[in-house]
Amino acid sequence: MGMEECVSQAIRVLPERVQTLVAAQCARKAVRIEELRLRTGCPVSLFAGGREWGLSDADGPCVADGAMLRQVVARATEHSLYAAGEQLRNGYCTLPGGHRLGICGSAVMDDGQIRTLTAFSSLNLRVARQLRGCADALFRALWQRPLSMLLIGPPGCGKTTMLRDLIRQLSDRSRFRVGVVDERGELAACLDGVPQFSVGACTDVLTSSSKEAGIYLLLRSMRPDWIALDEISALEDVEALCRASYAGVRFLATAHAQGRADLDKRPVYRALLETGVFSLLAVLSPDRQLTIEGL
Amino acid sequence: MIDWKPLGMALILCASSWTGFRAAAAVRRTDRELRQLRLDLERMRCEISCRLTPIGKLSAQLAQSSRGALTTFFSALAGGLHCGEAVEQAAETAFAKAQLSLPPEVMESLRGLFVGFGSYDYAGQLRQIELTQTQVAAGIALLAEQKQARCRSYELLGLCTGLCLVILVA
Repeated sequence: MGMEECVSQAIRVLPERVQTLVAAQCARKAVRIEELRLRTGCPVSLFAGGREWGLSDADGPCVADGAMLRQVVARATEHSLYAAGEQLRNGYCTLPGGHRLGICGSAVMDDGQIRTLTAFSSLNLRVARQLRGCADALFRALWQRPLSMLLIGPPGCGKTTMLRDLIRQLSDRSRFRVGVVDERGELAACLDGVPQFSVGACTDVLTSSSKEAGIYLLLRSMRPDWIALDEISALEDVEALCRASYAGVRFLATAHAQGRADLDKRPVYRALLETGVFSLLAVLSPDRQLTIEGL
Repeated sequence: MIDWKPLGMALILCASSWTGFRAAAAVRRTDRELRQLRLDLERMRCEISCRLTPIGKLSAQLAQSSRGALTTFFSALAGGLHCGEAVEQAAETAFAKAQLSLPPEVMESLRGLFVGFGSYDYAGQLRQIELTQTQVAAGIALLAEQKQARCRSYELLGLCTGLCLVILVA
């Protein structure tokens, strides 16, 4: 899927006026849109190439309001908040095509947990993309030393895009069986069971499952050589990885961190490193430079 | 010369009886729709509780499995949602198109269900459907008590009215 198609698919949830403005921006400036932000009372803004700017037309700035945000969330959830309950509790909603709508508003608490979000105040639409070949360096590294790899980097630097391409290459070029636990539906973006992104012919995708449950299910049912997961963030994930590693499967995973020192500071990642599951660490910098080191 | 009088009387009798039988048929249609709605609501509840099916897909499925005016209703609802309409707006259009023959209290409950459909969390949405199911069950029970008597009354009333008119005209 080309960049233009990706953007037009992602912006389908937006009001028609915003869709027109975004399409015009794409056509005029030929920018690669990364995010669109809607904040109540502020102009809808577009983020691309490290810069954010507001959208406007002859009628003036395109200002977002509560009704606009509600409409976007309704479209994103297919008018069915009950169907997106778990995602809403985590502050996002995955759209067809793997695009992600981040949601902020008033949290309704129940027994110390977020039950749902209401009175939406800001939305962040992240456009997913597939860059074939972006994980060539990682693939070469794994070709030489096929060991479990942790890919880290700051938010928005392209970890998921790179992991997706690495899965595709391992699956298609090396014919490894790759199991993907796509908890947020961003890696393969399955729609009615069909991955919207190319993740390879030997890849089995489990969508919407927690990482912990998903790892065991894939191990039991699909006998993978590799298991790929996006954004490790909880101790339960670390425990599941550790236990599953005894079965001889190798892992590919991503985590939010700036570098090795940053990993050591965080309890979850410290615990992850202590397990010894990962042997390689790939660090992606904000300017998308990649370094690979042993752990 | 043709004697038109017997023909006129026969026509009066037929028209009057037809009105009575039509009223009885409407009662039977209401009963059928209520029973179909009970099935559709149960399927809706199961789909949401087992598969979290979104309303658009759910309506399309119900349009396939339902019968009569409810097929028209769910088909129009699915169509409206597919075109990007809000649930409430799509439901209003679907109600107007389907011309359901449901009792007023059930219609009110059904409208209430679609006014807030999809804006509740999982538990709230199921509760809303269960409330409507309760209302439909009450409607079915009430109609079951009266159905036979009402149908017979309408049919007899039509027939008797026709006969009366024939006697008066004769």
